Amino acid sequence: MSSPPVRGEARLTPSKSQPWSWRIALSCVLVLGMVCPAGAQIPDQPAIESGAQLPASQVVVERVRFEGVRLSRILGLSTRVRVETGSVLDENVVERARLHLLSTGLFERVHTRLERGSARGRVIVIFECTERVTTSLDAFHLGLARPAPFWAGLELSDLDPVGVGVGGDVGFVVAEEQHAVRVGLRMRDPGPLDGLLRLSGYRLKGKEPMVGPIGQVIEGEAARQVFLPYARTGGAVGMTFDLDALLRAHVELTVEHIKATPPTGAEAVHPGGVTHPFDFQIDPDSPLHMGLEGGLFYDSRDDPAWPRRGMRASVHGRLSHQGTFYGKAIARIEHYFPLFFGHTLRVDALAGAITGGAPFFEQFFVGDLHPYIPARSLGLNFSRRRGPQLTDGRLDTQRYETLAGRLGGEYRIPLGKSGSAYGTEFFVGGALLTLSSPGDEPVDAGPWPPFDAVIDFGLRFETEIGVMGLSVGNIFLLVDP
Amino acid sequence: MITAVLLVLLAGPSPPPWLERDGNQVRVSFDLTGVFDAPLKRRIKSGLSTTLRVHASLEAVDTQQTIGSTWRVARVRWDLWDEKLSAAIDTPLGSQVSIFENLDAFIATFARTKGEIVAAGVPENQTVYRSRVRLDVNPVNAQQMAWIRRWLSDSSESAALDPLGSGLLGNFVRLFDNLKLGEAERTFRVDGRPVRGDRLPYTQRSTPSPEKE
Repeated sequence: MSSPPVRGEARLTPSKSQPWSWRIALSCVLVLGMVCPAGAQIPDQPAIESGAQLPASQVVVERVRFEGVRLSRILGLSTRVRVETGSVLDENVVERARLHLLSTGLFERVHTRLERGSARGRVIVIFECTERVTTSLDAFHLGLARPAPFWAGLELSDLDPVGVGVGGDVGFVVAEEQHAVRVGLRMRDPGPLDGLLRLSGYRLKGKEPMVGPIGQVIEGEAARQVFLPYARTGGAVGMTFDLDALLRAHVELTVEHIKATPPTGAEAVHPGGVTHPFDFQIDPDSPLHMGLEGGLFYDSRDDPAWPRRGMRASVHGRLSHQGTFYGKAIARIEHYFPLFFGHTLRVDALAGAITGGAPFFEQFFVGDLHPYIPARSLGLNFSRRRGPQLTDGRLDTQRYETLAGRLGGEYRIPLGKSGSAYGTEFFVGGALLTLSSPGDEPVDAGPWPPFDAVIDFGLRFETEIGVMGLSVGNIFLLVDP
Repeated sequence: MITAVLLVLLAGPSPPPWLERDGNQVRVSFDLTGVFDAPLKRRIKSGLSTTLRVHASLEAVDTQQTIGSTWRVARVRWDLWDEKLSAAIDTPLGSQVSIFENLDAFIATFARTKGEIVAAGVPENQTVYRSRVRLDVNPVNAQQMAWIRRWLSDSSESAALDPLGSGLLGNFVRLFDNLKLGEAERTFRVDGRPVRGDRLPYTQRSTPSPEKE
């Protein structure tokens, strides 16, 4: 008639402690705590540990053995489990190693056991692993919106396709006159580094349908859109470090070559009938585009695929050069609150700003914010759609801009049997969006920057083979109104 | 023939928990020895510590409200050389560390209970109750669960060519091996039969409540 005793347990910490990282982590947590102090930590529900203690084990580790693991993976895993041979067995270290193995995503089960060693008091630590399917379909691009007849693509990744500890991903999207492909490699804890190294390369061939705030003309004649042919070929090297169990830092260097052929005689029509030449912010004399970015990611959600509690937040900055220097910063936060009857409330906010002359594809695009306008797929936009305007905030005049903001929320209601590991839910969400470029606001927008309110609702399913959803916003991707 | 049927019945899964009224209190008896199958016994004899948590509760069937509960937790370790089992057992009544000569002796002690108080102040009315007993093997807490599934978020944070990525509303499909480990390495559940509060068998009749006088 009372709760079992609860004791503290071994904390999940990165295995290589770095004093400087703790200072950074502490600073970031404090900043995040100021932004959203309530519920910043996963509610602690420690495993139950007996009040009475077992006598300490004094056996010595003679050897570590893996079972059910392909041979090529064993060397990499041996260095990661960090159960030292010759040392006195510490069960917390073995349990932490088991969790580390599970957190790689390579195994669906990891059991540990001991076997007698060569002499009394010596043991062999055995990790019995069951490997899993490590390929995942991360994104599925499919859309239909004028002027493109349709576009389709996939993003696939595998945590370790050939069993040597190197993950890979590939993505592509194809339309009639545009296509993009991206390949990447990921390696955890390479050499002396403790983190996730990522190398990627990409190639985009775009023919973007550009539109002006209320229209566009070519040589004085009204046009449905103005096509901008361009190509981007580049690569990136990035590293993600664990600063804490919940906090990660990311740095990345990107280098790419840009080739663009801006259309001549094309002008954007602004409110009031004023026309200005399109400014794509691409310097044809400086095709090299370089950027260095850094970010901090905090994630205390209880599940990355189907969260019910916790917070995800990030701050992200980038300094780039393409003819001229420009800078970009984005901060975003999502907070999940568990409510009664298994309902969940999500509150989210985003703010982004760009200073300097960023190329159009680095600016904030309305489709990336608005659920009824197709978002970019692998960096390509195929649609000229402006989207329905639910308010008179004139967001429909905005396209690629330098300031972006979003304040939103989503209410999730579970359907079906409660207590199951998987589920179906109905969700309804709404958001207030703003997108603008200082000094370039529509003249009839009033005192407020361009904004709009959006509503999206639908069903979401979580199954043993992943997460699927269908919402009004998704339907707009397949049906061009 | 009858003997064979009895043997089959006895070798089956654990019998449902049994409730008895003791005044205003309700006592529960259960026998979970049947859930200790070969894999679980092998796990306990792994040489590493195993945590076993038994949680028994009394629940109102209509409202699914928990009226009361009791628990017991054991942390056990099999000695590979002496082939004996050390067990630290906690119950609401206290803690003790014991050495068992074999696994079956431990199971007989830990997995069975008779007449343990599960709820107090249970009125003798027509409310229908049910007992539920659950055994968790090496329970995993929420933080550990989140840690284990963190590989899912590795791919989404750094690879976006779009400045905002696709995280606002997300892709409408993402397929991967989404096998979940659950809240424990293994979990066993045994539910009792529904029974009315005024028809519970008595170990002791309750004092008449003022409403009935």
